[in-house]
Amino acid sequence: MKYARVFNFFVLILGISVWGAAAADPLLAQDEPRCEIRLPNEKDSIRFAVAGDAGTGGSKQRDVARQMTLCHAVFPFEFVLMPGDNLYGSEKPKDYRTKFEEPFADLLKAEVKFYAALGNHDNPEQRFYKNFNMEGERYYSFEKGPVQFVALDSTYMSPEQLEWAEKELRGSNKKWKIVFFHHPIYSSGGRHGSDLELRKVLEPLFVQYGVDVVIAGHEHFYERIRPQKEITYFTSGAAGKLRKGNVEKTDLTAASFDTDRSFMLIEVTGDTLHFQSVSRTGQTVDSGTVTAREAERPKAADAKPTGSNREKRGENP
Amino acid sequence: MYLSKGLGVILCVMFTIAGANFAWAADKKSEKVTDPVLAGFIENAKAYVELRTKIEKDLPPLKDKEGAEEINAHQRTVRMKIAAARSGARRGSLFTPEVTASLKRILDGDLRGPDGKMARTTMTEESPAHVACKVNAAYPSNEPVSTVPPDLLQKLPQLPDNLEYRFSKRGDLILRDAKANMIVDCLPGAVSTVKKSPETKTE
Repeated sequence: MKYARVFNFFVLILGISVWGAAAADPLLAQDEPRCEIRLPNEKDSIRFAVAGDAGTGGSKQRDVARQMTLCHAVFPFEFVLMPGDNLYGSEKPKDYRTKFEEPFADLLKAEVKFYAALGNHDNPEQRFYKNFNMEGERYYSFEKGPVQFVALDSTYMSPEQLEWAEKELRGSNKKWKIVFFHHPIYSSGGRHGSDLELRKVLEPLFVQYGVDVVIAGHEHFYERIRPQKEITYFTSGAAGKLRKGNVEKTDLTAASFDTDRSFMLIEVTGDTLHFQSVSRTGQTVDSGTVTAREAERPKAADAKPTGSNREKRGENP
Repeated sequence: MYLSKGLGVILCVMFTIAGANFAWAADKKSEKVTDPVLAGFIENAKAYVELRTKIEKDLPPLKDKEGAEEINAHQRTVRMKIAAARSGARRGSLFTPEVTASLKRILDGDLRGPDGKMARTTMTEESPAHVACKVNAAYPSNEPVSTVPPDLLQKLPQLPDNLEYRFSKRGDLILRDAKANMIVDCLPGAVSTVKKSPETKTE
């Protein structure tokens, strides 16, 4: 009788603990974890995800990866962009396993490709790693349908790299040009903020050669910047690390999320890029569209210097 | 007659402009090697790269689709072989006193004033605090690397294949071999550091 009472007491305590943990962790609290897609999800579109600053190997990174897998089931993105800090800390073979291969095992199994850029925590020899698809280069580009993707190594923007980037962007006739690298050149982050040194050399190239979207990491949160000189900037650096409450909202910020980990889903259909930012627990924290700069450029016949695009897109004066 | 005279003038102007542009471009390209001391430094850096290339030739080459084990083993082997081949190398082997003086002139010139302070912050922020200024040592792989401002990279002599300038939190200038992840040379206290505000909590 006495033992039964003790047993019941322990069962009660165990039940309360499990309930408490579930209540505290929204991921466990979900009846049925799912991914709500707010993108067109068209069959022939270019669909991809973004996971920056992912490589911690921690439980929260695994949560993000699990959520990405859930989204992949309903929104079958073909590849993932990693704007740096792909592996934190040591980079022994076991680290590649625990900080990348195991968390993203389901996506790798589903033949989702990862394209990495180098962050300040990354050994440049990651460029040879089969799953990062960097072609053995610290900076490289690839094409998917109407989109040209350019990956840069922002920790070491040598004159040689700048020359290469200019040549790549100038030579591309793709409708969409998306550049991704680690350090954001526009950011409201309290810890780092905008990298003005990089902005000085990169922004003129982006403007001149029609870059539409720039994706960075480094800041451990999500932020969408109001279009700057017609270019939309995203920071998506919270797939593994989080710097809680670090967005110091400025005039730059169009939307932000800094209370939990997150990743992005993106779809390009014709002249429109659709984006959705999703938290570790599956909440949509931002979504919207970007129009290709090429599509917005007035034709020679109907060119009017109205500046209406700037107003429409909420660009800072 | 007038036409041919006009054409002559136009051609003359065009050639002058082209010539000036060519001279400017050539000057721009060569501005980093006009200092014979720095030209010598680059020659020594090239000799180092040649040594690495020779060592790598004896090893199975890394392809662009390798596994983590191969990458790790390759980098470690290259580093060990280079260290053995230049076991006599000491601090100052490449950063000789003359090279140091020339490099410091560039660094001091570029990192002065408020803009310079911003650049120094960029350079030393999140850079490793305890990286030993030790030739042939592995660059600590569990520490981040400093970001080097592009402006400064345009002024410093351009290094050959996979050699790079990095800075430590103490302001040491490190000549790093990115392929071998190794410190080739080190110049302590090359730049003065900037005091940072306390780190925000990261989970």
